[in-house]
Amino acid sequence: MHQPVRDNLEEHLRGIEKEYRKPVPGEMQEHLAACEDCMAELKTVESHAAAIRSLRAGAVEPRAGFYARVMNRIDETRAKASIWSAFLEPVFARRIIYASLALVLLLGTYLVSSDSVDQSLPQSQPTMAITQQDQKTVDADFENGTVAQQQRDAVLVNLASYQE
Amino acid sequence: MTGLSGVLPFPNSGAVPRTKSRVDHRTTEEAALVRRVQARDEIAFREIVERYQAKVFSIIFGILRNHNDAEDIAQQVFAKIYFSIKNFDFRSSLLTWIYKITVNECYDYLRKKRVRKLVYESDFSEEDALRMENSETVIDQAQPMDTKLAQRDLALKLLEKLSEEDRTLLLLKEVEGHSVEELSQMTGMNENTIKVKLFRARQKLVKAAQRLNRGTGQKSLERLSGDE
Repeated sequence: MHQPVRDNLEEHLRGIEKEYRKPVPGEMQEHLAACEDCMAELKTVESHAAAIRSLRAGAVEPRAGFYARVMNRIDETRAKASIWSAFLEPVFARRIIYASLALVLLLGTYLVSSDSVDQSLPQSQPTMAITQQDQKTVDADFENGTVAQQQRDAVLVNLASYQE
Repeated sequence: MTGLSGVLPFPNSGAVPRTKSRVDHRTTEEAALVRRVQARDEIAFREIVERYQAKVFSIIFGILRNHNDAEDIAQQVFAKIYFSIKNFDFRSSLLTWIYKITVNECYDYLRKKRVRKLVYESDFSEEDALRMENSETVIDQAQPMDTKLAQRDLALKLLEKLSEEDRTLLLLKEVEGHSVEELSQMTGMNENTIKVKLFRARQKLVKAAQRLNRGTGQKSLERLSGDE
């Protein structure tokens, strides 16, 4: 759409309505007579403006007691929102965040401190504790060795009976 | 359509520069009323409801053409006004702000309605859907759609493609019949900005209409090839 039409477009669209009827400005009229593209585009824009004007409605009044119904709606909305809106209140939400952080910090400290000290070992006699631990390992290895030997024997017996 | 639209300068505000003083929306009688509502004055809120209820109803009814829906959405609009008036910053007139909320509520309603319809239709079997589609086609052929209805349908579809601001501006201009000068006073923007925004919005409508026509054409082609 060229400048002469652009400059006068809004005035023109208002002017084509009955109540604001106005002649098309000379400059725009001259251009439209010479430019087919602008004429075609203007027709489209005019048809869209007419389509939007079809959304006009005359005076429509609500039924009596509208204000009371609005207040009911407001109360309903308030009641629905009250549980969740508490979490959206900045002060309350900030308190919840601080409490959660404090809880996380407390749990974290507890976990770290309980991991660093093995409660099963006697703290007063470290040498004895290490010896006890070594003895336990040797016993376990011995037991594992016996079990493995028994399993090996069983497999050999199975193979021999299969060959027969 | 000419391809020059994108490169040419935007409309001038007019040969003679206007020296109209801008309306300060913070000092009007309406602003005093808003401040009272912001201070939780229920009587002031009642005054706002009584002052604007007819306007809000007429906007909603213009878009939806249904009294029950208009009542429901109007209640929703005023509830929204009640809860969000504390954020009203006096940059535009109260009417412009209420107008925007009302139009947005209508479009929200239309969107929800369309989603509900889609969910409802997805519950049908393919056979049912085909039967429904065919029966609609028969009705369409026997009884051509009323021109006004078609116009309204087109307007709603096109306006849906615009931003909230563009939609409100176009509706205030075309439906409410405000001039560029009045719009400038109502929104707090200068006349040239209004003209540019309106021009861009109209260009978007032209493009949206072209896409819509292409889509409809495509669907008809698909239907035809399906019949073959």
